Amino acid sequence: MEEIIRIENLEKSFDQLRVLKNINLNVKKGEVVCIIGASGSGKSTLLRCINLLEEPDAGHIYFKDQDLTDLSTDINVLRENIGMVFQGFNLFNNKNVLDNCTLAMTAVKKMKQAEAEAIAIRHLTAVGLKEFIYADSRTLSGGQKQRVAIARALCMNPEIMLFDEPTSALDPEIVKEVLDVMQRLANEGMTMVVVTHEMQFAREVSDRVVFMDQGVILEEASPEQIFTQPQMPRTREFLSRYL
Amino acid sequence: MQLKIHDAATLRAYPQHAWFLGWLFALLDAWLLLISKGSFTLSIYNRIPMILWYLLLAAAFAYIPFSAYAHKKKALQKWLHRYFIFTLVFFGIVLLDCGIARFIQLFIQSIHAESNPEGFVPSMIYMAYQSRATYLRGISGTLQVSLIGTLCGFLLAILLSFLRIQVPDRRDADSIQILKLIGQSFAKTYTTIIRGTPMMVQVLIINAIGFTLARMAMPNAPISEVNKIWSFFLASAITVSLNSAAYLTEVLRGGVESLDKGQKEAARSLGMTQWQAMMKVLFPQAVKNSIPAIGNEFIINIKDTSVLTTIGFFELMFANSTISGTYYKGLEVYLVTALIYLLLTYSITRLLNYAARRLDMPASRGIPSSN
Repeated sequence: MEEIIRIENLEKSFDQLRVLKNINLNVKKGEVVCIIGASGSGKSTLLRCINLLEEPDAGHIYFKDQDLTDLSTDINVLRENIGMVFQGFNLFNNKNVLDNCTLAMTAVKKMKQAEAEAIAIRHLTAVGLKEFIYADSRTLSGGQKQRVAIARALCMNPEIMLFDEPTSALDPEIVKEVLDVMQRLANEGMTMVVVTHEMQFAREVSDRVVFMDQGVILEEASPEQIFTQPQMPRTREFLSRYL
Repeated sequence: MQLKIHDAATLRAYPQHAWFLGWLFALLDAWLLLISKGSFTLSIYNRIPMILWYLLLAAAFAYIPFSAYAHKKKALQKWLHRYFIFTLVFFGIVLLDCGIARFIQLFIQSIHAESNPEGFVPSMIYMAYQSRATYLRGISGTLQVSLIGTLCGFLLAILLSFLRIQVPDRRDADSIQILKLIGQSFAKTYTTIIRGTPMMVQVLIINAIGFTLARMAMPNAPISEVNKIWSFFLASAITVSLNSAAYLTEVLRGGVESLDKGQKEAARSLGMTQWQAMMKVLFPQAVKNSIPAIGNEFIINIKDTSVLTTIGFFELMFANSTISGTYYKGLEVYLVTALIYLLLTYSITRLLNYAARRLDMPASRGIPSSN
């Protein structure tokens, strides 16, 4: 399988604090990788480095053989192919749901408005929000907002989707509707890297689980392996509540 | 004296200690009657018939059960209610007769006086009325320059704040980085200088520069010709625009930086460039959030344009000086001018607050002041 993301010797510090220490990670096409770990372990930072929302201090990140850390790479072009879904949804407040989705298509991909709207409506229907197309994004519930965010990212037709704790800000009752969308996405073969605390989801949907602790990848294995037979004591300690 | 309140309607329409308020009103009535020089409607200076007349009117009102639920209440409450209405009406009539009507009488007398009256308030009224054309011209000047200055300043501020928030990125080409740095430094310097100097000095400088340039363009023309090109209005409008631009730049910059960081991150994650994210997501929101501040700037300008009188621009302060010089009176004229300023700022504040509420935006509390 083709390798989409290759991370080599990644280092990232915030002031004096080393948040990522010598990270090495590969993601293959079609794989669903879940990154789990305690707060402050560097999971979100690692994810945000992949689409360069955080600039690494050292190391390399290759997206299909293009080095993101090279200063001459046009990051905007690469970001078209990397979709990101945030914990706080981050829908554009000055636009309604449909415009949220079409904005990037018309501005970045220079599509015609009608064509962009057709694609947006298709994705919004797929996540179950067909009735909310012209709604003001502020009137939606958290789960609906997150589904719009997922549809918005999918409208750009990315090759990989990054999810930064997508359900952490949601009520437990509506977590399911977002996870269902993500599961369907995984079944359709989308490459996904998900930072999550939803262990059930990680267990059922992911191909590989990565456990991070204090800036290093402590353990990396299949979900069955990690959840039934964690090797490292820290992993056992973290998963003790879920095992 | 504890009264049983049966429901909210009773509470609203019928204060708990009506008897206390009743006595308060009675005292106020007595005071007004004592200080007033008489009744306007009766035009006799005999107090007792007047008082009897008022008492009769008040009693008539109090006895008419114009509240539907009055018959439902206990006798004591009903009488207390009546007593309260009685004193309220009595106070109202006295206020109307001895207070407001007398003021109107004074007002009309002052307006139609043949020369400047001796008394303080009559003099104020007389001078204000006689110079209403001058005042109007002053108000027009003030409002024109404030409005144009605020609007042009806002447009300039959009440009300046855009320059101000540029951050040279490692990934930009060197030429772009240099341009960003120059733009940012220019915006910073500009706002520092303008915010660090009083508008009075600024208008003197701009007027002098403009005048000199106009003189150079037409060397032999008389001053009146030069004034046609470089008028005081032009100097004032330019000054206020440049001034407001500096302050509004900071407002807009704050507006952009106070936005949730996620807005920018989401835009960039979708592949939008810095410029696209600014123009399509961040700036529209920042401008919309800053509209109350722009309204405030307009009101602040109304007050601050008073310094433009130093170059001879005909606005409200200039009108003030003109009228004061015409009548050789000081305090009376200044108070009228102050009242006009207050009227302008207060009414426009209320108007803007009303518009803000209608458009679902935050309204300011009180009259805005410059910080």
